[in-house]
Amino acid sequence: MSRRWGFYGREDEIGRLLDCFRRQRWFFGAIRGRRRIGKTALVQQALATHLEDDPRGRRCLMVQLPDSTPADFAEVFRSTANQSGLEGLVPEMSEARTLPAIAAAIGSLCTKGVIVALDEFQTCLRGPLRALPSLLQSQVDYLQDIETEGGIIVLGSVQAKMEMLLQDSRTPLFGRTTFNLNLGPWDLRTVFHVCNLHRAHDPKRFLTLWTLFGGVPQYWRHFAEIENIDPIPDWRDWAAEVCASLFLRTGAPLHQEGEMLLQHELRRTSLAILRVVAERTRCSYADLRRAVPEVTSPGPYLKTLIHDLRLIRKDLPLLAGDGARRARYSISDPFLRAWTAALQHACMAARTRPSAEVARLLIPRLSTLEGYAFEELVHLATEEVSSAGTSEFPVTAPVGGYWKRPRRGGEIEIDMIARNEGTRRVRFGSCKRNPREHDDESLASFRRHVKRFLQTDEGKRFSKWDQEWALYSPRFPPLQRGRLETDGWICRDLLDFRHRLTRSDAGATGAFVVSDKVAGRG
Amino acid sequence: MDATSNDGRLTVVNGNWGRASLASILAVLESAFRMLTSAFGARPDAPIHISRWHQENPQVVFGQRPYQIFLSTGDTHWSQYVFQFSHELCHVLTGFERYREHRHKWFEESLCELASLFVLRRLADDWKLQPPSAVCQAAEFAPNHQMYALSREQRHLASVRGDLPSWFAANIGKLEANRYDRVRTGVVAAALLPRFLQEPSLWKACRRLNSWDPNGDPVFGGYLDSWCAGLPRNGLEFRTPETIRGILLIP
Repeated sequence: MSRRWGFYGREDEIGRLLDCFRRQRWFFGAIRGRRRIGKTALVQQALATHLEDDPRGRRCLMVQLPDSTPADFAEVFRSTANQSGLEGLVPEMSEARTLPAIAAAIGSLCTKGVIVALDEFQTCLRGPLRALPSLLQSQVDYLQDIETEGGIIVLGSVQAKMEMLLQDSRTPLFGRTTFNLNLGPWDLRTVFHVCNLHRAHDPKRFLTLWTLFGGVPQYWRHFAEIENIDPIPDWRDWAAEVCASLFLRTGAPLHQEGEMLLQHELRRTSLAILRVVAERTRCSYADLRRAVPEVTSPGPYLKTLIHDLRLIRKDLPLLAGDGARRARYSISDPFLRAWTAALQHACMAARTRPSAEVARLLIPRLSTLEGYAFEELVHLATEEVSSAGTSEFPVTAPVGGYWKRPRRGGEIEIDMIARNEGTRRVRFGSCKRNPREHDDESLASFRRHVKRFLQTDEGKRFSKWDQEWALYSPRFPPLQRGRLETDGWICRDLLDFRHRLTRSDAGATGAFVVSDKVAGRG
Repeated sequence: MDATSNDGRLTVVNGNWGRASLASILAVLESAFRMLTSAFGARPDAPIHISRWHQENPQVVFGQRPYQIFLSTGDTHWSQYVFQFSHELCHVLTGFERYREHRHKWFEESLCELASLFVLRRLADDWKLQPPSAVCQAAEFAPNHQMYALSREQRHLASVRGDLPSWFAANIGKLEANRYDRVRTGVVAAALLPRFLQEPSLWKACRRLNSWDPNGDPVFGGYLDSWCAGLPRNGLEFRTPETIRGILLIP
């Protein structure tokens, strides 16, 4: 490992938490985000920073709710309190052997200024702990009526369940939260920063890691902890070693991660639909019906996967109305996409074959996935650079692709369209993972597709706008870039995006004290 | 819970400041405060409350005591804290409320820009020797103050063609028309900086900046004359307007 792991990004989220802690008023907060997104680390880091402002410190009890019985939960609760040095703080602690007694102990701890964080709170939507929300309700209502400095934070990784627990008007804790944080993946600026710190500054390697992890901090941390990977010069060997170290070898840290993620929520039919989408990377409703004929109507399953579980994304061609029938479905989480499309089978194969061999066979599939990931990366980066205020092309609307397959031929497929309504500029983009693929044939095809687009109902409004033609690749060789730019093409690669995202008029960032727990010291 | 300095002069008001603790922000602002007030030889007449806001430009509010300063920076961008706070503190120290609108107000803006650059340059040295203990790795961070100041100075001076008095003669009309012209006020600040770094006592005269009605001065030379006239003859303070005259005006 080249350097110690730290706490990266999340400036706004941690600022909101600290703002809340410093108010010294009662709070009941909810932090939601997928597994491994860094919910616990966020709370730990906020508490460590808060110690600088209040040396007395806010004591905190972080308990992970087990998916088992109240008696087991009581055991976990008392043992965690013991380890945190809180066992003698309130008399109710020793009596905490049932759910009502645990809830009473939580309430008493809060009156002493303790922050109680309940992790995996979605566990109590169903099952033996389902009475907990109701018991907490009475504590929450009591605590907000008295002047206390304590607070409760509930953390949960399954969005849909957390929403049902906290936002459904029929549930006991409805309308009680004083703050809600939805923790998403790292922004690209943070990912670039982490890559620079942890030996992945080469754009090609960056793309591979982005394809595997997206912006999920814990996965990047596992990568940062792989020993002796820097000296591997060839990308194929390096990528195979990353896959083997993180996924394929026995005891690899992410060997079972995909299964854990899927087991959380999915039932068999949803899983089948998810796999179809993963295998095709992008697919239409008709593709789905053909692939899963036993499901007469995939609609309700899709709805659950899109709206409740947020595992699948429904994309429409840019500028097409919501009712357009050209939707494409894809897996929204990069890790899950890589897992279902490639890694899961490889992990199974690695049980009976050498992991190095399986890893090498994985590379072609990984390369294909990188192509799709790169297109999404360009959309995301274009928007993020624009919102950072460092863009050469500020956009005024979401960036996306366009596709159309008329029955009479004349297919249209444009990887990226970005526009600025104020200056009446539109940029058409073609994304290629391999810059050599921006060849004469591809460029001519790109031109044809844009020309057809400008004749469509959606596209004709742009015919009198300033039009820009951009080519994107992870990294352009200087000679090729020079040649393309001489011909009038705009060439942008990941180094350009990195420069624009990490360039800051705010000056250098000073160091801060990283929580021992986040850094793995405690 | 806000963070207040021991003498009660500065308070950092709670808000979303990113990953930084209020204690570390206060330590950064205190070091900038000490640097500029010691150069001025004066302190503000009331405490200052510093809050975070999400507008583009920092600001000090007219007519409020304690003074209310809003900064648009956050997280651990220490140089930007120093830059923004020193600018607003300079407004306070030069009596910004006394004459709010006049054609020479650009000069106060330029001085405040100069204060920012001056404090950054000074803290680059100061933090190496006496890093504020509440700021994590302050000594290691110190060179970044210098780099932040230099990048601004270079950007400003890059727009000057020829000698400075000629540039000034050609641009004073634009400055009088728009006192917030950050490029031009930046040029004036960068031009004055070497002398102020060499002789920090030049700041002392700036306390008297808004002590006469500048509306009676039709030209900038007259404004400098009025400033001079209000300064004690038995001290060294009258050197400041003359120094500025020597740098900016064609003899």
